[in-house]
Amino acid sequence: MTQTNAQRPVPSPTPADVQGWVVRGYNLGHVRQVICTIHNPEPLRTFLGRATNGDPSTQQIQSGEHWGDVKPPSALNVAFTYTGLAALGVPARTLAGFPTDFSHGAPARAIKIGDVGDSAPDRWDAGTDDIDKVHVVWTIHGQQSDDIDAAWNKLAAATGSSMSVVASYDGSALADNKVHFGYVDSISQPHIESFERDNPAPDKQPVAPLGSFFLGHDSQFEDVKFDLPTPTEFVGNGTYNAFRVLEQDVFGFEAFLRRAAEETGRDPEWIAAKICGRWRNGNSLEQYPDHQGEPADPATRNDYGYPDADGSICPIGSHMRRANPRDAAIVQRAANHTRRITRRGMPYGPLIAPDQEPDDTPRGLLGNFLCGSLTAQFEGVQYDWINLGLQHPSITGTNDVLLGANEELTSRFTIPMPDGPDLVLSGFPRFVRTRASTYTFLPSIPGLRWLANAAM
Amino acid sequence: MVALCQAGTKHKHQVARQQKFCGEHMVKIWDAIVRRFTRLLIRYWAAKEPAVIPPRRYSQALGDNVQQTMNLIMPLAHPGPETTAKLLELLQFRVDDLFGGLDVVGTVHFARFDVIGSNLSMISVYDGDFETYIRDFIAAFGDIFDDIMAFVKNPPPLPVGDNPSAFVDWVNARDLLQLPQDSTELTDDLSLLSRRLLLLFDAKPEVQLGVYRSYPGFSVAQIRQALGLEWEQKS
Ligand code: HEM
Repeated sequence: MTQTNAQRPVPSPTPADVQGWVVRGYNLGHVRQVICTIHNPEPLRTFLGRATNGDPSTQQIQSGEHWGDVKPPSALNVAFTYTGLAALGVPARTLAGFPTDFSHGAPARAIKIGDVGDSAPDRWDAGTDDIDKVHVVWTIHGQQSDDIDAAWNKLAAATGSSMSVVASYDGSALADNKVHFGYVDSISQPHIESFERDNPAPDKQPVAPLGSFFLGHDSQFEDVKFDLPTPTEFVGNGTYNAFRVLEQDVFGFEAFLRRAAEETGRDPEWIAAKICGRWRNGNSLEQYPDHQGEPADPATRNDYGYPDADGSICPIGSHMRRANPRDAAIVQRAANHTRRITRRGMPYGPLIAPDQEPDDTPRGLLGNFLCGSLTAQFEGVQYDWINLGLQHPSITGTNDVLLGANEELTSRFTIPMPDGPDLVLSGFPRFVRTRASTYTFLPSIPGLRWLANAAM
Repeated sequence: MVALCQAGTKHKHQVARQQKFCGEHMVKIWDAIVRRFTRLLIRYWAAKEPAVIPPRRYSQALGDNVQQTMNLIMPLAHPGPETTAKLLELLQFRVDDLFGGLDVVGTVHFARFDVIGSNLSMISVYDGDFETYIRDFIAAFGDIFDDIMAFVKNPPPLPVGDNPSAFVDWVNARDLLQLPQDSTELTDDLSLLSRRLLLLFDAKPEVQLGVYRSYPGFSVAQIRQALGLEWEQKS
């Protein structure tokens, strides 16, 4: 393998250069995410070479180029863990240049990000906490689950016994883009510099610099570029992903909404909105402070900031305002807009009917959190803002009801009221439990070709 | 008789002194042997089972996540009065950028630079995650660190702004060892604790032994807010 110059600049990516999933949601209704162990790298590398050769008659990794009016039946993307790159034969000096968050892997970061107790790695789905087995995550989106089966069968036939499956997860969109807990999701997404806006919900937040999603470019921090291992033709324009299987206690959440509504004399929908920052129909509290109204035009429903410094419209501790404080004043003064992540999520498990009796069927979210730095973006949100609430003195030590690592004995959520004392909700448990988590790297399309062709 | 007696007494006294002297001497020699032996034993253990350096601690309890300490010890390339004078000049010249940068980071209670022995140290108390703290200070005044690195032995890859994760690792390796509150967490087998500790301190001799907090559990911003000082715009 030829070792290239570390300083060789990374070209600005075109849509054809990157895995499509990073720059746009596919709006295909189904997904399968498969975690595999690599036993023999050669057949896999051959497959990667064919799948990036641009020949539409063979199965291809989906790039960011738009497919036009005719949606394909399925779209395939691939990501590797650090141990997966090693199993593929990536040389040690390249591996050594990757950042510690990625090289240590998700299980090692569990305590930091709140994967403890029931969510601790030793409670994850079998095998998913074993970094010696978790090597590659295939993501197949499909119009129908049959389309996914067909794509997976092709992939499995091509790679044969070179891989084995550790865990496989199927998800399907729910009506109106809702997720369990009943909210419309996937509205707010960052707009990445030089790429088309990813969804029809424009806002006034700054465009995300290329380097905040693709390695090798100026990041969202002044004079900072994220660590770039060599060779740059492999690593340049790659992206990190935290893929998390998040089980949701839907019945527990609904019961909590009812209890909180009773305690405060408010409507459960109002409680649900204050917890999240949006009404469950997708309208933002900032635009609809008192009532949820009819679902707003998608073109306007994300165009808002947080003028209410006291959180009396949208609570400072709500899920959305924690995860992205937008233009609000925060403790880490330069950090607004610096921890943005692209979220690609798909629910799994059936929707519950109103008044349905609790059952044991697993329900949750296949959550993917894409970014240029796992520490600076994904973990910065999850640890610092969601679980610690460090960004504002009035929420430090309080909880994100929807997502937090909450403990019944100590949990607390404050709803500031415009006229009168705060409402405080307490005694709620954790509603989202981690069942698997991986930190992966999605190489660019040329990066995948390098993996296929480099003499390693 | 009296003389004899006195002589005898004197003699006894001398003997006692001599014995005491010999005794102390023996004890010292014995201590030295024990120390020598212990060191050899530690060397032997260390060769057999390398020390496990505990990872940085994170906790569900809020109080364990604010007011964290950093004791960054950076050996100087050429310690001495000229280096100290140059460092002083650099830090004084950039003091506004440095303090302004720390204000922007927003989570720092105290930070100071000291020259101790042949090291430059940066000692600070901050809220939240170590990695986020270091990354935020790279963004706020990474260029000052680039300048400081000219005086430091084995500097990290520069500029730090192009290698943030490598810089975090570099700082982590030079931060004093921090022990869990309860050192029994270091091993499942309590009978091995003292061995584990000895091996640990052998591998990482510079250690923070303990910290006192007068108002535990409060972040910088909470304290400033309670005092009526602005926390979001501190200039
Ligand atoms: C089962 C788990 C989760 C559920 C049910 C959930 C639900 C939601 C909902 C309903 C929204 C509002 C819809 C939108 O504006 O797109 C939202 C926004 C958001 N969530 Fe989550 N979420 C979950 C996990 C996470 C995780 C793990 C993170 C990251 C650590 C996260 C970060 C965000 C961010 C960044 C936003 C957008 C905020 C903005 O840009 O204003 N969420 N989430």
